[in-house]
Amino acid sequence: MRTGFLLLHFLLPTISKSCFSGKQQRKHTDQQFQHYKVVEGEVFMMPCSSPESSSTTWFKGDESKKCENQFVANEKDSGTYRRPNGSNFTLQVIKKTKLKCYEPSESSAMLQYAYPGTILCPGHKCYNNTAVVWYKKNKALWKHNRQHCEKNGQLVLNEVYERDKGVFFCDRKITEEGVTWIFRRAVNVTVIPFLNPSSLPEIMYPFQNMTEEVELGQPHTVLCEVSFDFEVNISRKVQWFINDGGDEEKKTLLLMEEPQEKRGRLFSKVNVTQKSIIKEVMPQHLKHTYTCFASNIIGNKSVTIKFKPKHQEPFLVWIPFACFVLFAGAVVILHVKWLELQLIYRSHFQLGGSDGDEKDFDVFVSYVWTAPSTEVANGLTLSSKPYSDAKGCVSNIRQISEAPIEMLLPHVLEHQWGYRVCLLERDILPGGAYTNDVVLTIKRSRMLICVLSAEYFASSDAVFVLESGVKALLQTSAHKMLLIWTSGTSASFIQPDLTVPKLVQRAVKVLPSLQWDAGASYSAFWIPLQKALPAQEAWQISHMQRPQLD
Amino acid sequence: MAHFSNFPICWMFLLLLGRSEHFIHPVCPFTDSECDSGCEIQEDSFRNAGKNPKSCWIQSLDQKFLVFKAPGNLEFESRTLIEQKEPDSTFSIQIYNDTNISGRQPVMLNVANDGKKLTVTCQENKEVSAEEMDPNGLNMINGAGHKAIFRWQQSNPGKYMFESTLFPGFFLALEEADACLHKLVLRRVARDEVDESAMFMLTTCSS
Repeated sequence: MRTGFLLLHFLLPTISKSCFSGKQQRKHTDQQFQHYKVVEGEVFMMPCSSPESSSTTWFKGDESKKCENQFVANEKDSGTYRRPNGSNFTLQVIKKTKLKCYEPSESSAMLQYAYPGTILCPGHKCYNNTAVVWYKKNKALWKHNRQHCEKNGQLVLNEVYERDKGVFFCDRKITEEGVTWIFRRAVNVTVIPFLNPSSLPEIMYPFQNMTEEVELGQPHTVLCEVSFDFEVNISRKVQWFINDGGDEEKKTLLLMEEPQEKRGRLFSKVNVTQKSIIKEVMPQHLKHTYTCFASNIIGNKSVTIKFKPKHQEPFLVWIPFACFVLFAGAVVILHVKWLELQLIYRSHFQLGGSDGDEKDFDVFVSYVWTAPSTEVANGLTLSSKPYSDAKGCVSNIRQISEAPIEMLLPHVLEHQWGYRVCLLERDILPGGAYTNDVVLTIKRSRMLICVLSAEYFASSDAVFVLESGVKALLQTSAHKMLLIWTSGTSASFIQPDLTVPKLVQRAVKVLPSLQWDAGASYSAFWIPLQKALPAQEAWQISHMQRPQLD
Repeated sequence: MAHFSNFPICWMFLLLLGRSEHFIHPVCPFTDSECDSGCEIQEDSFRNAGKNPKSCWIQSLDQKFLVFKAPGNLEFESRTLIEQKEPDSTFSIQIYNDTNISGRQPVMLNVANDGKKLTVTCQENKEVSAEEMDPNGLNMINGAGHKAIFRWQQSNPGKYMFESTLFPGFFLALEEADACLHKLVLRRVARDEVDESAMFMLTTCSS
């Protein structure tokens, strides 16, 4: 904004009081003129025939300008403007150098609101000031409902209002070679609340002794908001200082951004926001204090704050904690369930390959079965003929289907599928220590199958076999195990009163197992069993047929 | 196909979620008899701020008093000190809150006559009068504009303008119908125009 020519009421003490008495007499007519002059670089307003005809449009060639349209005049705007109804006017743009007198400061005025104000028509000193007509927008001032005076090229307002800001036009009549021209000049008026501030700056934010949270290693912006009185000649300033160690005697100016200003809610106030960015907050920043210093010509005010580390976001706290908990949980689980995990891994994921030694048996079958009465036993005697004797197998159809699994399993494995089966009571020479025999047999076998039943768990010898098998599995991956649960038993079968070692109790829950029911179908039991058995030699595979059960 | 709202458990679930609008008919919160929009919630509305109204004299800049003239006219006239105390020149200004944050406070102007409370209102023809209004409908007023609500603003210290919310851009103003009759009217005033006939002083205000 150009600094204006400031002519306030106190410079013109001779304004007649009668100037404001009553309404202005109508001195001028709404005459439509046909010739206008404007100074190049000054604002011109297109004339309107009446205040109500604001929609009137003037045309010059391809150009069009609406009535009340204001623009900065330059040479190309000269010419004749016409309206559709046939009326026209000529605009002449005059260079400043052609004027009788020219004062740039006359093009603007600064008025104080709530006080009287005077605006001079530019060229006041050298042009005729009689019959000057003043306009605001398209409405002549004498039509405005306000107390004012137009005299000798001056517009005297009884009271200036904030609404008075804007462009006022003053029209002078000039006659040149018999042609009457309207010489239109413009004055840009700004309205100020007062010339000088009367109060100290007011720091709205931050508050004295406030503590701001900062994150170490991150940038931080300090912000100061100050409300100032309006000033014509600006003296207001807002600065940020850092006080070394909290000592304000050792202050240093912080690097600041450009201040942002906006008009306050009140007409007379200006709000300034000053920011300063600390690029990276270091631990030493926590030892200093920070002062926002605001000043104007009346005086100054300051507010001092300090920093503290930001309360870490839960996100940053809980993730490591959660990870720790998960890790600790995993460690506990591993510790507690190490046995189960080992057994699972060795049973399900390791293929049970050979440890280098040739095995004497493919399958060591462990079971406990109490033979029934002789008749039944005779009826249930399975053929012991070699597996190649299909007839022998067929002749025992009925007997086989009714046989318990303890009888059926070895028969199928050995005679039908060709596995080398070891049965303790049959294949181990008597006389040796039972425990040694069991351990040795397990070592000599590729797989241990335990047929679990109530009787099995009640037999300490049988449980010993199971336990030894688990231990062997833990020691080497060359050994496999399979549990066959018979009817009425399951992993949860083991009662607390049974003298089953803890190792066995835990192992039976995770070891590979099959459930045998008397009516189990081929696909439900025998196929899975086949898959669980160790790999056979080629000549054995060709004879691995569906068990002849019916 | 059964709608989910038919199932009680869905109701409970929706209630828990706070989505009761699925099955609860919206209740009209307004009792304004002039609310003719079927209880639809308007974007703007005015609510009585609940503050005690200010009782003031309203004077033109040439110090004439706004007075109520039966049956419903509002005029400006000079008053002696004794006449100033008449109730017909004392106006209570009731403050309202609104949803439109314009920085200009909505108010209602009332005057007492024969034990009745009359409200300054503007009509479609831009005439201004004082009429009796149903008090029940004045606590909450729907809409962006109302004939009895004006936004008052200070133009200069001690001087106020009242813009109609029903006719934005139109302000209460003094019009000299003739040498003796100065009426209160509604007049258009441009934003950057000063019209001192649309400015009033509020004097001797009390809560």
